[in-house]
Amino acid sequence: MRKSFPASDLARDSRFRRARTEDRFEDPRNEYLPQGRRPGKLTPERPDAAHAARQMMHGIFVGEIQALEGAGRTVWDFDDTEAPFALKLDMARQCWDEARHTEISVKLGDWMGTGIGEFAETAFLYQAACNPDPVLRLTGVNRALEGLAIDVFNTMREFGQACGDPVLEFCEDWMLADEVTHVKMGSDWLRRLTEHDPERRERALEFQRVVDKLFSFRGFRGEGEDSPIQLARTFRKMAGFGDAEIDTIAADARDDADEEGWKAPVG
Amino acid sequence: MIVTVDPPAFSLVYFDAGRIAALTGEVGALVGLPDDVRVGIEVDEKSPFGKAWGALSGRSATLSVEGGAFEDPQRLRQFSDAGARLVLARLLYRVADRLDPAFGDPPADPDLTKAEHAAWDAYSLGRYAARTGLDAGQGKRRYAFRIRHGFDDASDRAFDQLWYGSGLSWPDIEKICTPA
Repeated sequence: MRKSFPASDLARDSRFRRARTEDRFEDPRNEYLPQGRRPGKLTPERPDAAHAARQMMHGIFVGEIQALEGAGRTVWDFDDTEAPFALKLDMARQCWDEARHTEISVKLGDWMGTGIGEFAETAFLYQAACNPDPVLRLTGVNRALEGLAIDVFNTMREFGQACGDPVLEFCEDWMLADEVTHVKMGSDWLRRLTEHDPERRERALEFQRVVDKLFSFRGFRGEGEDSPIQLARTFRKMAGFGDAEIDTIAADARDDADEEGWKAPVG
Repeated sequence: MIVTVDPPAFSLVYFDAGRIAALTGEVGALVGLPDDVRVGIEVDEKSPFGKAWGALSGRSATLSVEGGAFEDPQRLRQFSDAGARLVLARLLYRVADRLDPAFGDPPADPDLTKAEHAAWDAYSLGRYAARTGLDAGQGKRRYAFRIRHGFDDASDRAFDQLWYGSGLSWPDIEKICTPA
């Protein structure tokens, strides 16, 4: 079985449709978006609250599949000299969580009226899980991708709370607890694997910063009131993020939000 | 029914004005709009957002649609026949209701509350589902209704009354949505 599986070959059935991230950023309509016309934080007050929540739920669903694929590849792609067995065991346990999350997300989608494949899927989450260096891959998956998952789940949990949807609120809360564990795993393994190699740790953190900038989607994730996905500081700190790291993610998101060509990601 | 679409040609999205006019005629006939009604559709192709609303003046209706409302959620900038039909059904049933003196006198679209929007949409798409035999996104509409009216049995019963209802008036809709 080959190693380092490309995103283009991920298995999907006919219900799924792949979209290119570049197409979203190159959408000619971006230049006509009026300043300030952004969807805003996901709250029940938004007129399109139901649609936006369903769309985000579908994004979570495909994100869970890609997180499962990313963690699964790490179990297979590296031998024990490249990645300790205990790390791969953690990744295998994470696969179990992601598989459950995928099933929960399908049921939540059904609860909200969304079908599998209703929205296009981009593969940028999985692409962050393709680095050939296991330490860089670990930061890409367990700190950047799973960190984003913390932000998204907390946003959805708060949305469920605000509109009185007990099913959404509890499901998101339970999955959020798993995501905090996954990020904590990433934080712990990064520290252990680079204990005597500060240069490699620096490269890994730089890679994470690049991925995090991509995952901020030009301000779609951030701390601004108009950011649909809110940065979840408390949960990130529980998962091993330092204040300075979170400040950097927030600042990068703010800077990117001011750039032209803002476009909401889907899937 | 006389239908006009503005703009007559699109440059930012892959929409076809003729197709939009044809679908409008088809859905308008299905909801029972009289032949003398004029329907003007104004599509803002610059907007990827999905807001859509209508206004009625005499026997002329203007439907304002942000391009995202007609867009295929799987294919960027592509037109969705199925999605457009649902948007048109929602808007054209409102036009038909407003033209019917027995329906009553609902507020203009911009003055409707979010809860009223959700209720009228459920009633409109429920009738569309009954006429066409399509699902018409009942699950989506139920979730949108619950957000505005509560996640409880009373809210679900109200939704069912609207979705499966017929011959309702605006006061009926308001009554259904008022907690006992």
